[in-house]
Amino acid sequence: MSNYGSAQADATALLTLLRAQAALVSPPFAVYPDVAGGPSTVPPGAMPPYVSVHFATENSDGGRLDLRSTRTRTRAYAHCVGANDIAARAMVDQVAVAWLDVRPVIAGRTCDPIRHEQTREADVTEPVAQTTVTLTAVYRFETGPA
Amino acid sequence: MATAVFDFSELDKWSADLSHAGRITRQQARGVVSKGGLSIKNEARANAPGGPHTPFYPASINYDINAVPEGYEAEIGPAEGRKQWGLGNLIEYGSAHNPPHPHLEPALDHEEPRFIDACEHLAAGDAWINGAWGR
Repeated sequence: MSNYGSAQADATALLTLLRAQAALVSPPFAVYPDVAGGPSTVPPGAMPPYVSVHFATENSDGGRLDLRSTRTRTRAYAHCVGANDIAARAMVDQVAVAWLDVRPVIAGRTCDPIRHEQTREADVTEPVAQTTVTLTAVYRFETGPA
Repeated sequence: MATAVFDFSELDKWSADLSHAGRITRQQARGVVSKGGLSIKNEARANAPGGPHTPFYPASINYDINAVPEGYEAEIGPAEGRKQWGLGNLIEYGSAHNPPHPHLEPALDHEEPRFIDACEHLAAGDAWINGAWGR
């Protein structure tokens, strides 16, 4: 898969930026999935605020003359969870600080700046003992061969 | 004495293309928008998860063509009232605990270059004849 990039490289680049931002905030917020991965994205009992990120990566030809699908397009779905709407928006802002217009570095790839696509309306969940508010911010990240 | 020679052929061609643009009929524009909407709908349906938990969801995806002041727009997505249409947001974007299954926005991405190409042909005065653009 030389020159084709990888879903893991894209995810790692985005998560590294987000974890670095999380460490700068006091108190730091949690970022899922965990560095070591795991059977589920968010471990049972996780308390807000936190950001849970899912990725969807596809290889596109990007209109290249050689018709090789060497560009990756990764959408990152950052589910920003807070105890209330204010806390959820604070997580949205932290994700923006970490990602918006930032150009990650991946060896062997040219990386476009990360772009924001949309932020979804609040999704309120009311489990037995806790109410949380989730805002989902969608970002797009594209890379090509260096 | 120095002589400068300018090549205006590209500008002339562009000017000619613009003169054709005024002849685009609303019907032709509607056809291009409709074809784009149909393609996005078909791909989204094909890639939407339709497993045991969402057997009716793919068929809920539809498209409408709306006349707007600027021309036409296609609205593609789960049609309100169809079985399981309300799962669209959760399926497309996921949640903190559930991964997304993107099927609408990737379909839009894939159609975009074809749609722009069709618009450029329309602006150049081409017509879709027997499965190909021509004049």
